[in-house]
Amino acid sequence: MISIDRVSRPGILHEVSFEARPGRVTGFLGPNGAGKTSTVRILLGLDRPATGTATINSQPYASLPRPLTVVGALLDGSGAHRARTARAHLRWLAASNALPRARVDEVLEAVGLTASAGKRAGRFSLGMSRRLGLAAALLGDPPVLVLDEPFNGLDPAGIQWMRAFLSRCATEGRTVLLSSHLLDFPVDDVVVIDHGRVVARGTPAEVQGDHDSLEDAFLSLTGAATW
Amino acid sequence: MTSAPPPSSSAGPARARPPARSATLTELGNAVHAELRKLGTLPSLRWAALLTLAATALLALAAHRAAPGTDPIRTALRWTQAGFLVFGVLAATHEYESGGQIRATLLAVPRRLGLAAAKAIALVAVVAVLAAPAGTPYLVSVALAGAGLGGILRNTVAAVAAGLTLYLVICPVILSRFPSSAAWLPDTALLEPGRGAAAAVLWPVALLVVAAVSLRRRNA
Amino acid sequence: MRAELSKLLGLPTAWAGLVLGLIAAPALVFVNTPGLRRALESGRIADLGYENLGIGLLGALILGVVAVSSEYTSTGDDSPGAHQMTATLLAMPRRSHLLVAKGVALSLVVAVQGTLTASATMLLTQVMLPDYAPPFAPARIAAAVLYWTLLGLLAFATTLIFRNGIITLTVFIVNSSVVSVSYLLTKLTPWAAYLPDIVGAHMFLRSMPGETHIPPLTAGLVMTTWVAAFLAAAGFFFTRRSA
Repeated sequence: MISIDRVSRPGILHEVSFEARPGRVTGFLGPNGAGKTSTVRILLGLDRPATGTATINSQPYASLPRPLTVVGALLDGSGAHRARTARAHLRWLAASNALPRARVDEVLEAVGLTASAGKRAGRFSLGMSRRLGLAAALLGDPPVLVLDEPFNGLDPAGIQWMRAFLSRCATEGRTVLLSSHLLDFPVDDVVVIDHGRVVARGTPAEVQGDHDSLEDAFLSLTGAATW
Repeated sequence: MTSAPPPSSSAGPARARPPARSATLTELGNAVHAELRKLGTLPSLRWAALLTLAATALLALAAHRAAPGTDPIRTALRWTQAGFLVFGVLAATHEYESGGQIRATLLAVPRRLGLAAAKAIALVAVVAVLAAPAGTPYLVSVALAGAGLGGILRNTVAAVAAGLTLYLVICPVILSRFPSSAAWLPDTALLEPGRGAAAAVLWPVALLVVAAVSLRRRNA
Repeated sequence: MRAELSKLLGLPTAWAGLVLGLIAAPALVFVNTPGLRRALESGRIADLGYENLGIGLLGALILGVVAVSSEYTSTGDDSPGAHQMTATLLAMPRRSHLLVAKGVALSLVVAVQGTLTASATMLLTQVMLPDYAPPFAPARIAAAVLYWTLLGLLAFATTLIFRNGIITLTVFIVNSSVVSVSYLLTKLTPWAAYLPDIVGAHMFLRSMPGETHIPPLTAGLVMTTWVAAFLAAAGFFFTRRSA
């Protein structure tokens, strides 16, 4: 369970509140620059909010013991230093949270990077970097997943894989929060953010309302429908 | 991507929590372990160590020929201490280079002061091993000062320039102008361990404290 | 060319280098004056003021390194392989022209900085130690500025060869410390006096330590040859390597 409670940062976020519940995929939607990444970074303790709280299972991220076993996060890039191999990167991550070494090979297998495990992260393509980032997120087998723009840089096969992966995660009872400026994936709940404010919240049907499609609703809510 | 299934949530390989009393220590131990792994798998650090040791050997030979009777290794280290400084800087700044590793680090170890401590402990351990042949703990002090500067400036070139200018240019100039300041300069301990020990401890500690506070306060 | 100039001057580290180069040498005159006065009273030093110029070199070195290393620092986290160099090469695909533009931009900045610093340092020396200061000699100042520019270019070339500013920066700063490594090497072989930093200093210093005395003109030629060789090697690698 993720809950964001009246989180503000001057000029970026204004009293943003929403929740993401277990067993559901929550889509955090908004145009580029709406404040999605800022919110996610605050949730993960990377940035500090001016006011408000963001918690995971009622605890701020920074006070989670062995956080990788609670939350898996995918941000921009892989998070791996370019000169380190994928395996070396995952191994230090595993060590930091006392995860068994065998998990490294398991997650490499899960994202299809086993053959490239000995390659330096700097030599990875964009799609491979994203997969390495995802492997890191899965390392602790966390019940909560926070994914910032997970479809960026994926090829069509990768997008399909990611969609299947997300719904499997929800079926298994995980909490999935994913931010995106696209609407191209199945979600159970939707939060729409624009100019740092939450402008709509609910199931896709609720948010769609009288509009012809969720896309139309999104465009009119975010004031992007004029063209 | 392949169609391999995502790991099942029931597996929970190691989810049992450690007992609360030793939790902080366990956590620190894990973080140190991770930092040691990081230091051990970065090619630039290996190069820095290798070049430093090679340069020290070469200059020690030159010093021995130029002025037999003096301690050639210490003479060589007057210059090659720079390598240890660079080592410390890289250990800190590689987090901020491409790839955004600092975010992965903070996601794995979100308590930032603990992270700063783990980094310092790991660096001390590695540099102590590297400096063992030279037989002077002073080199650990130089490396830690480099790490402090790296953590504050978050930019390798800037931190290397600042650190080397401080140790190799500013300090000697101050020393020649105010010989009585020796006990306060961070580099006195290399040639006069008895006189400069306190400064060799205080300077890096001060820099590391500033770096830790800045890590804690700044957004990543 | 103008693009390279504005890129160089847009970097915070470059400004740090400039400021350092500008104030270090005059500041050193200030700090050293009492000690110098004592030394002068016991009678020596033909290079008053000029000696302090060596330290201002750091600024030139940092500039030379930053001019290249900034291009190879990754610009974003999205694509691990992205550096500014990629964009630069797209904007200016003729690599040899790019290299020349960079070199000229760097030389200009360093020369302006060097002239200002050298003049300021010498003036300050005149003011602080009027009885001892050597007469104002534009030719020697020009030689010092040339020395700076050449070392800046040398740093630029080595950084380009290694594609890593740290090695260059370390070697050069270590070498500009109180007693240079090159000087120690002259103890091993007199030929070390022809290493670029030492030989270059003979252009404007009259009383260099060491046995070998090299006339200024020869010194200038030898150093220029060094720099030309390094630049040629850098150009060779740069035009052949993939970005």
